[in-house]
Amino acid sequence: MNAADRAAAAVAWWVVTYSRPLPAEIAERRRAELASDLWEQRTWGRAVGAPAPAVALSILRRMAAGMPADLRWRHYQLAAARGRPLVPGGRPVLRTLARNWWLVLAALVGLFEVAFGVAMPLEEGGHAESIAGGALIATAGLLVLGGIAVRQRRSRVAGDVMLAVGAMPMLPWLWIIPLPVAGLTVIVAATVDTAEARSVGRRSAPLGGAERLLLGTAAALAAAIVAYLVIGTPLLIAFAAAPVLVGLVVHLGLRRARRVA
Amino acid sequence: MRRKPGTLLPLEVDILEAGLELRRAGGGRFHGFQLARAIADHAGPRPLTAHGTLYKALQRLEEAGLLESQWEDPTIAATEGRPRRRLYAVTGAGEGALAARQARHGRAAGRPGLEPT
Repeated sequence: MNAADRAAAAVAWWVVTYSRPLPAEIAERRRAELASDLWEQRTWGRAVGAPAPAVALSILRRMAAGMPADLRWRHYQLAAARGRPLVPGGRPVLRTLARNWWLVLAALVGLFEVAFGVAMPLEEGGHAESIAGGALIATAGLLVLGGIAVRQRRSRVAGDVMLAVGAMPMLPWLWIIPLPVAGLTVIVAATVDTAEARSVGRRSAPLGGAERLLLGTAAALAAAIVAYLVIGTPLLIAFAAAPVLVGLVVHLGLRRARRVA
Repeated sequence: MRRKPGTLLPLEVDILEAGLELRRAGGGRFHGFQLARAIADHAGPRPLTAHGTLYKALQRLEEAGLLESQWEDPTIAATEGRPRRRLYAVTGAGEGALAARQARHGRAAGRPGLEPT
């Protein structure tokens, strides 16, 4: 059994797991289709001389990327089997809230970060470190708020990236439990939402200059946070330089990608 | 996902376009992995469509009458020593839905399914 066979076995286990409570006929069809797909992919990999680990990676990526769709399909099939309405009932406002609860949480996180980022240097006497830290946190908050707008109006994936990165400064405050929990919830929800957006193949309008800049800022902020966590506060030069460099690289990369497209 | 009735998601467009192209190439009916490869091959440098995404979309299209499917003859699979394939084909309604979509978007028929940038 090579790596591709083991990956196929993992997919088979996942299919059996999520299809277990479904009616036998529906579950069997899905399992049989996946068994055929996995066999065809491994056979095709051998035919084109692809290394088994590469085929395994491809199989596992297909499994992981399809998990949100698998779970939604399972939910749909269970609801149909039990004769429940497939469209949730209730008031439209409540339905919208049920779908977008995490965006409400993200908005609160963003507002908190902006407020805290502004208050921190004022509270701590305005020395360089508190100004830099405050600016970083406030920028993260603005990124979260901007991410909500970008997600709604332009690009769901780009907005989700901004939301996830912008929520990162909430994580280190472990001693105030609700803050990292809120930040982690936003990051996980944004990641799942990205996977789902990609899983339906929804394409967004091309990013405009402002959005590319915002995405560059997201990457820069992520670099700044990593730099902060790794090297600590004293190295303010690296702290300031890394975001600028990364932002520039991302900005240029996106501009080139758009030109190629 | 909420959407207007009668509209096609980008992945559904890709599936119908790839299915029609496979038919034009003489393939007739096609199976899931064949379709995933066709989409990946024709839509530029793009990875194979995820399992859950692909088969959920295929079922959705079948329920909408845009695709039809059937299991292949088990003796063929047994002879070739592989699992049985579920074979799909684009229906007339599927062709019509794709043509209507392309007319709305002012695109020429055929591949690829990428939006103009």
